[in-house]
Amino acid sequence: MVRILIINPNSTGEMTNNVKKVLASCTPPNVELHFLTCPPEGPAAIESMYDGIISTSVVMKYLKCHPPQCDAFLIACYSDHPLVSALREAYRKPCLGIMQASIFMALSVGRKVAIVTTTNRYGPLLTAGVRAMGISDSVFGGVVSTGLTPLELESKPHTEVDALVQQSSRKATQEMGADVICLGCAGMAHMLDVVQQAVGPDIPVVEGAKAGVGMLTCLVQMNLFTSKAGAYQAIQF
Amino acid sequence: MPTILIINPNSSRFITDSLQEKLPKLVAPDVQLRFFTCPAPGAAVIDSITEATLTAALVFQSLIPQVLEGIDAVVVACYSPTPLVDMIRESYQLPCMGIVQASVLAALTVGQKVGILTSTYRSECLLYELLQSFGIQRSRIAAIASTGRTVLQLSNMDPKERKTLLVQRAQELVRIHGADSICLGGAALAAIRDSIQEAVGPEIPIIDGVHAAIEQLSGLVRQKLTTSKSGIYQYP
Repeated sequence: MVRILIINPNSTGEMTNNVKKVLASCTPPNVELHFLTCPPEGPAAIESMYDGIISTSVVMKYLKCHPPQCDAFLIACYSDHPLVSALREAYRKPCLGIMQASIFMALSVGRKVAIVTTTNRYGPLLTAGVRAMGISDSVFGGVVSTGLTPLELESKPHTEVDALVQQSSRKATQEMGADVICLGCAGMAHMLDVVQQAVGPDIPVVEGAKAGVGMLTCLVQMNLFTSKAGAYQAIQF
Repeated sequence: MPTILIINPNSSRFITDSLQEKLPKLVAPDVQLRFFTCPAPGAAVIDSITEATLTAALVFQSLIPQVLEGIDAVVVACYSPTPLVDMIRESYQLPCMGIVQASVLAALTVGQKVGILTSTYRSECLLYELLQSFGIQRSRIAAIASTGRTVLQLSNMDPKERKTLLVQRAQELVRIHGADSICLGGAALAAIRDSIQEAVGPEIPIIDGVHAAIEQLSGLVRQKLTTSKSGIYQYP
């Protein structure tokens, strides 16, 4: 039994539940999913590098006191979240963020990936994130922001949210030439059909949590572990 | 129940047979495997652009509906650049991956600098461009190392000497080029995996591209993701 611990680094339980619902349909029979929401001291949503850093500190402190029983970690925040690197240093078990998982899966089915995301700040943050994972601009179409915050995806009227997400998705394919789209927020996990409707059947739409489970299942099945040479050498933890 | 077709684009049946023997025990329990070998005249080994192109055409033309019946995704098991992956992605919607891309993507989730070990000098040269076409930044590749020999020279080498040379190259990838993971570039490398692991030590994950491709494609199939039919991969 492969046990994947899915960590929501923000403290909003509803977002964790959202991700849980989405994953029910595509988890292979030998994989068990466990979920952890950041303790309440952590930010309600990750909207900045500051939020990323604070949430990493809160989660790592928690894990130190509650050693995780799992084979792999999935970080359910669509960003270059520092928790991914911290866990790669602290453990040998593979660790992946939903952003890297989605971009890598996207590049297996298309040649130009674009991301539809929340706030305008996430434009430069996710662009930097794509570069940080070793992917060059030649296959990256860019980021389209809806202008919504992660929490507004739920709090604003669904018709308004859907319209903004669909408009951004069309911009990604029509103006940026993307042939594959990634949903750029864990809070958008349930919106695959909404985006698919906007871009049509020729464009694959990648949801990060599912991509993460897919990629981690691959790594665990291959008995791969995080390298303990180079950047992810072990730390005292 | 992802059903994955593994295409050996060279016509060396014994390579397909060895994959058929070892892979079913390694893959996820819901995955089914089928195998296809390039028909004659084909090429025993794919090393050159010419061999890759001619065998790709031959395999592609042999992919009649019966071959793809019940198949959810396709692996092209060749660690040399071959147009076959893109041909299949263009003409079909089912996902297709080459083992080079699969191995490097897996490597970049467990490390920051991937070392690639391959057989011939020519494939060393060709692979840099291939990785660039996948959008992999050059700075993420520690180096691509080979025996420095041609296919003919390799076939005339004593197997022990060949193995020693490859193991030495693996160590250089880690110690000189700073690789924190190693991708095995092809069947000949996969065969000496244990020796390579012993030589580079337990900190370095070693990635087999065929297995990586099977599992990543299975992940795509479970998510019902298929190849884009827009942009470069539009139907011809």
